[in-house]
Amino acid sequence: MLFNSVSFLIFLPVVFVLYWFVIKNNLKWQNLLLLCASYYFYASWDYRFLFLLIFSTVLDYGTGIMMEKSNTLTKRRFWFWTSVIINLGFLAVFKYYNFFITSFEQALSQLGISINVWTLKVILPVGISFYTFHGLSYVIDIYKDKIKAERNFVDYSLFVSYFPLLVAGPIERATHLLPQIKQKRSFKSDDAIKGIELIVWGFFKKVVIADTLSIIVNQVYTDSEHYGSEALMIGAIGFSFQIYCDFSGYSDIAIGTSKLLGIDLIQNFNFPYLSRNIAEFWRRWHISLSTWFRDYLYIPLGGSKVSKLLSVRNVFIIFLVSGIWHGANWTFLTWGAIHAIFFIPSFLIGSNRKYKEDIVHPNKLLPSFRDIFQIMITFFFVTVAWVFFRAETLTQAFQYISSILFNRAGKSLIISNVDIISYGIIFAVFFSTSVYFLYRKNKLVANHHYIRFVLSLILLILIALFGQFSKQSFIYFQF
Amino acid sequence: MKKFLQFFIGLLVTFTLVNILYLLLLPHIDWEFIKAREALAFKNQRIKLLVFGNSTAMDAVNTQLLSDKVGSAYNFSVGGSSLQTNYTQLSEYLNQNEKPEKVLLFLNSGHWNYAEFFGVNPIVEYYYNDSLKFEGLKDIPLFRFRWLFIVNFKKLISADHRNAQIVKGQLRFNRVVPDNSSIKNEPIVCGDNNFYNSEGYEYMWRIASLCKIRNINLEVFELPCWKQAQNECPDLILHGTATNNSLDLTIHNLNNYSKCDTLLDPKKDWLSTNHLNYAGSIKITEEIIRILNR
Repeated sequence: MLFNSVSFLIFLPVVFVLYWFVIKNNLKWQNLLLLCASYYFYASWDYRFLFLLIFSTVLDYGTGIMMEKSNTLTKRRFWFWTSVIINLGFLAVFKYYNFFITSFEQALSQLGISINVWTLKVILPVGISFYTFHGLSYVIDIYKDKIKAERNFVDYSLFVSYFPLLVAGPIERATHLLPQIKQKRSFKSDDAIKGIELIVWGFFKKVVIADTLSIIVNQVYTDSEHYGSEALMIGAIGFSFQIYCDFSGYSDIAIGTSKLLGIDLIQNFNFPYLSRNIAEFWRRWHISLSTWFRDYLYIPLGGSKVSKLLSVRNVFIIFLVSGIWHGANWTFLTWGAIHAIFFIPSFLIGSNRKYKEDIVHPNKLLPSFRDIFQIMITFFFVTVAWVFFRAETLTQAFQYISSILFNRAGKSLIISNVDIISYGIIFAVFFSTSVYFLYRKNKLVANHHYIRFVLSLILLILIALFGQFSKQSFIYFQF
Repeated sequence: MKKFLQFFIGLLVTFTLVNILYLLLLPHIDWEFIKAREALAFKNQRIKLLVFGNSTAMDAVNTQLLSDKVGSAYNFSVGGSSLQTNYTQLSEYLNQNEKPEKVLLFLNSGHWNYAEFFGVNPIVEYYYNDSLKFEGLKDIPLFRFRWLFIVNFKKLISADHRNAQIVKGQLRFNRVVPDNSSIKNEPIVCGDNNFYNSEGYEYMWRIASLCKIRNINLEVFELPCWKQAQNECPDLILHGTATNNSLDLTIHNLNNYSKCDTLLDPKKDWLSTNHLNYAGSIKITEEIIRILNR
């Protein structure tokens, strides 16, 4: 079931009504309802993988308890590594096995050795990277004595499979989500209104901006060797905004949906394209994943509290792992490496810790010229890296970039429905810019319900006028 | 909960009202709505020439000139129309009115995705079939008539759009967008029997069959595009079948570049890549009249 489908528009109100009106005041039944709804939500995509999700849940639930009960460190370690190995094993089989085995075969064939490899014909279970990371963070936190093992199976299962974040995050932590699941929830109108606003805003980003841009981007990338440099540049910039609006749109819908149910999820994006360097970009982009890697990989490796050489190695490791987390392809790995290369200089001179404020120059109406220049440079680097992320192969990515650099002549874009697309983008840019300025003057929006009401109404109108409704999946579902 | 329900229901109600307002407004401000309503109001009319096509024919075929020089004419074309739309319009007209002498059907195969339009134009569907059908979210007026928002929004920002007018179904636009394109040096594949018997042209044959049954003379034309999409193809005589009728059709190719070169001024007569402006419409209609009078 996609968030941008009619079935979800029926599913959510049904859950909402049952949750707040039929079984209100009974936390146990509310959680059970959410769990059933979550399993239904997941099974509607492919019921066979529901068993994998349940297995992963049982595994982490059981090993968590066993770790806590262990009276020796050896036993504790045994249960910890059992969980980690099985969890990562699933990821390895479903997501990476074919990639590594074929890469191995290709490497051997370069050396003149020919082998027949056995590849798996399996589809990737949707959301496996997300729920595996939920489970892993839970197990690691118990192992490190940060939390107690959860004894209530329904509550724990809900933590892993809570439908708003099940298939594409945000990647939640047990320390943040589990206490909310266990706490009695009361309906708060302001939160629910905020939830509706976020859902509408997320739909707008997805169906108006991302899906409109995807028409142009897909056209360019599927035939990139024949397009001229101008079209390729449009395709590259278009993808930067497409992926942001697609993924942050999903996160907004997820966070908004959860707010309707009285549960707060962590923020996943915070105006990433207004970052002034790559470090700031990573504090604003896919925040739940970058903080996950920081807490569970970078810091355990020693973080920046080791020698310069080792800390540079650590930076490379988290960027490479972040790249491969997105998918089993050299393009993702290279995307991670490029970000590491862009990040290292500011890391070495110590400027990576600058710019920690929530928005650029929060007390001014506009950022300074220097800020704008830095924002544009950062956006340029991020866009170059996105070419590798979007391309099917490394060869395509390099050709794409060299065609832009050498101003290659070629096909121009031909767009049907040009009015809907061009005016859609114009209205979207105009509206988004206006909202951004209102956001800068946060109090204005926060305190005026009528303004917020009108903004939501305008968004609904723009969705109806310019939205693309061809049931396009969210990009991050594939990860 | 009360505050939330006020917000949520208020949002849905206001959005519904905006849709209703949009639907009430369109028949008063939109050319194509006005035209479709006008055409549907024809009862027991005796119009000699009926013109059908899409937006290219709506702009290009000067029905006032046809009326003056050949006989009473009306341009039924609406933007984004498929041949199925034209068939629906013609059937509806014939059910309510006297048969015309001729039906002039205008194609625009030179445009790259012309034959990819299927289904009935939503405006025609709204007036001819079921104005209030609601089968899903796609039927909410803002979505169903979404492109008209842009058309009418352009009236706010452009005097050319504001000053355009509908005369006997023709949309008269004075704006000039010069054709700076050039003729392609690639070999051009001319349409043949197979091309015009493909799925996109199914309703052309149905129109031909309807005309044959009613003993109406059908003339089919290919309208011109900019030089980049013009061709060197001659007029074509086609054979096909529809509703058990064996049919012969002549396609008058006005998109032939020698003809366009003689008839049209690339610097003055165009409105867009395949739409003629008012000046262009006079020139192309004179050629149509010459063909009709052969």
